[in-house]
Amino acid sequence: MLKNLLIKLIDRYNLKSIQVLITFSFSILIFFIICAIAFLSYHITGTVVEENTNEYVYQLVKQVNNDIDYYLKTVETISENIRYNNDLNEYVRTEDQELEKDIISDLNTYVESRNDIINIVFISNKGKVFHNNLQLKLKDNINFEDFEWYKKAKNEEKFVVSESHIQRLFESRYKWVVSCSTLLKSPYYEENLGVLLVDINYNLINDMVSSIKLGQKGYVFIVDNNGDIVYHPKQQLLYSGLKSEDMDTILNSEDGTKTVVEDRKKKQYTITTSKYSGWKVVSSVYMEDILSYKPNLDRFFFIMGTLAIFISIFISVLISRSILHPIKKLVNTMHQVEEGNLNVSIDIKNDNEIGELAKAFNLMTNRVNNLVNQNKKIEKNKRKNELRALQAQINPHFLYNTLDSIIWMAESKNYKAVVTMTSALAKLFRISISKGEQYITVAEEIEHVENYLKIQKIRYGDHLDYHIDVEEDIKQNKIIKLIIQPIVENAIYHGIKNVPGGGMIDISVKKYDNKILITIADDGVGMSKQEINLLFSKNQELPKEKKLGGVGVRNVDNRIKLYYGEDYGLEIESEIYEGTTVKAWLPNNSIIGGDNI
Amino acid sequence: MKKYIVPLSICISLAMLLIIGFDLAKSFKHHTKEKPVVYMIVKSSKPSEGFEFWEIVKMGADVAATELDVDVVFTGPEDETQVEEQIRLIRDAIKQKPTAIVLAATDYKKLREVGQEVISNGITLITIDSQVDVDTDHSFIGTDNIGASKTIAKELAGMIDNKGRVAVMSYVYGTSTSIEREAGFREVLKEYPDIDVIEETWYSNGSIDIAYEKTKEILKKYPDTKAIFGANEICIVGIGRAIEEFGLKDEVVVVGFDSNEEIVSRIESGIIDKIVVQKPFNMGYQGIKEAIKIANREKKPEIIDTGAVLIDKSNLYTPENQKLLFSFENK
Repeated sequence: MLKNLLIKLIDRYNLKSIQVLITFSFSILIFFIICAIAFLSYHITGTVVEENTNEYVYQLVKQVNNDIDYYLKTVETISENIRYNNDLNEYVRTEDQELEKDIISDLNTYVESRNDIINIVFISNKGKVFHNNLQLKLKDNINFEDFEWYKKAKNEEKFVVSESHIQRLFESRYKWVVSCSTLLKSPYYEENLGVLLVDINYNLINDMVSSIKLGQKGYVFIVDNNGDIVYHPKQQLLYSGLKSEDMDTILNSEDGTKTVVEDRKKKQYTITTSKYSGWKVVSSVYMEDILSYKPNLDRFFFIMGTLAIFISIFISVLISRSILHPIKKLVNTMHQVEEGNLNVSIDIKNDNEIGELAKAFNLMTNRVNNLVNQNKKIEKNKRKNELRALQAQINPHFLYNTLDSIIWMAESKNYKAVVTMTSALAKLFRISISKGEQYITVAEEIEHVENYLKIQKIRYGDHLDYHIDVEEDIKQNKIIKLIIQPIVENAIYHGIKNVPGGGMIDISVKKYDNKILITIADDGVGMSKQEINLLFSKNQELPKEKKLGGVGVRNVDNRIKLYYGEDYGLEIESEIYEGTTVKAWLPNNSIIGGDNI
Repeated sequence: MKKYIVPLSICISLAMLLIIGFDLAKSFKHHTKEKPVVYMIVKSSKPSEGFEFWEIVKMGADVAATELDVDVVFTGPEDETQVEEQIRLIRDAIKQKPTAIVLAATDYKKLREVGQEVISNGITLITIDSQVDVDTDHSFIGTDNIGASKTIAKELAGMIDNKGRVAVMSYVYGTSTSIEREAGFREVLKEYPDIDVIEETWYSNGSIDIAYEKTKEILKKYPDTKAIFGANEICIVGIGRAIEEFGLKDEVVVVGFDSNEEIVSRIESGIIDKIVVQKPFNMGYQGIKEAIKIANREKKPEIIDTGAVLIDKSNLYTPENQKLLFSFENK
């Protein structure tokens, strides 16, 4: 069913033609190239988008890390300033109660000047606690050794930053803070002053980080060097086990981008580590967010692809047309030639192979046309010449003379001669006509001329002598008829007749290479060069020449050339008062060709 | 070239048509793919002082909303006694034809009718925290209240040496959570022969002041009360205030559900002894997630236990519990 439909379609639209083939293959080729290019550029742009995103995220995260570092440094500067505080140094040495108020107000100055610092607490080496805000009540029975930030500052003797936690030093106040603590060493004397605690509002870090939007779902979080979470926007989910971060990967990775799988979705960690605090700021970006740029590209490539395919089809049609249109023209013209119209020429001016083909075709038809015309002309000439040759045979003058001779012989009762002459005449005519055949054997031709000579011999008596010599093995070869007789006639009338003592005609037929040479020699009056030229000159219609009997000779020459070509024909050699020798060159073909009309 | 103009223009116009068609189809497709809207109707939307349970639920819902690209409309009556107001809010929500309604029911029975209305309107119903009495299968996300109250009851028994009088204060009569918590608590303590759980249940009705007054009433009526169970945040706060006022922190053991800063402070000072802390953030977060999953028919309805944690003085400040007890938003 489908096959039939397809066949119908192919028939209907000539789908097998080269045009369809070219269009189709070009379209497919271009289509695949476009597909390949589109796929590659899609892939490459995708990678570029991804790389750019990664780079952007990395810079962003690094910036956050730098901000935090910078910020923590300013806090360290505050600690350093407090270390140089005179009141504090003085107090630790003297424990002068009068200084307490000053110390508190000093501490408060720092807190007041910055809204990101929640409180500053100083625990002296003797256990006295100062905190900036007198409105807050320190809880009873606090054991500072319970607090990480205190222990760490004391043991490590350096500026330490805690993870985010609830500050629980004060009654009824629970604030999320990041604690910065340090063991203060007196710049003035060899003694530790105590531990200073600066609590930073956790919201500060929260604000710094939570405002960062990375795609629809991406976020940034911070972990310390133990893998404890300093900040995470989804901390509750982490603790509930609804979400997890791959801490091993984060802690063990160099700064840069890492791809992990979460819930069968790919996501990317971009990790930066602060040299100052040891914190790692990590961004978590979902691949599908990054790739959401791609649909736009999809569309772009789709549009480009569609356009390209249409253009490719158009171009293929164009190309195949430009190639095939001339070919079609050629084919049409050939059909015309096939039908016999040779007067056609193709009008193709393309300067390519097709143009050359057309040119060659034109040349060929032209040539064929010429040949055909020439052939027609030759055939026409053949007929004309043959007719003329035949006309010459029934020359009324000759017939009248012959019949006159017969009457005369009959009156003198020379019956034997009458019989001879009459039968010779009959044979003469029979061979002349020879049933309309163009070709006769050499033997027949010789018989023909012999009969003619017999008649003339009776008429001229001793005045005329002849001798015929034919090679035996060419006697059955065929040649065109009526070649020798007109020459002999010419020799008698224009050579021997005018010689008082009469003359001798010597006829010989010989094989000569591939040719047959018929020689008719007489010892008559001969001809001048001028006369010979006149004999062959083509456009002479002079009555004088006719008198010379040249029509017959020229007719013979024409006929030989028409039938056998320019290589054959007559040669005349003549000396005045010596005689004339006419040589007729014919091909020695046992098989006769050329008679194709 | 002239004869190529026609096929060329046909080709180009065909291509244009195709592109325009594709674009239209795409924009149409885009148009239909609007953000899903989920209504979250809780028991109390007005942030009252010290009562932050529902705020944390909302935080969880917001996180899920960004993750899933969903619009969440968060509403609720002023306090958890206003059942009629909540019904009205649900009816309003139905009119908006949201993808799903996530409901924390103020009353198990009274919301039955409107709950059925939600389902019959083709809207996905999810309950969080407190159940509603509807026939159709639906997901519930919340604390296993019976389990949690049993746990706290066992703890309590140990703290009072398995003997003495115990009072129960609940919040609103008829809410599923309140019924479950009370039932679980009472069931466990029945096993202890020397523990006498007072038959009467006192209700705070969503007010700290009432809880405080009722505690005073209990203490006057039963001076030998060894322990009081507060079934939610408001109850515990009220009880705590009363115990502190009477100076009975060493005499009366206070246990219950939920926390806030005041409760933490009272745990530190030893007035409140042990509490069950729920995970409201998870309820909000998972409520929205579940709503979208069910609406998209990605899973079957189920009961999800968000879990609960026992908190006392000893584990107040572990990193996990800090996050659970103190919201990040510093006020």
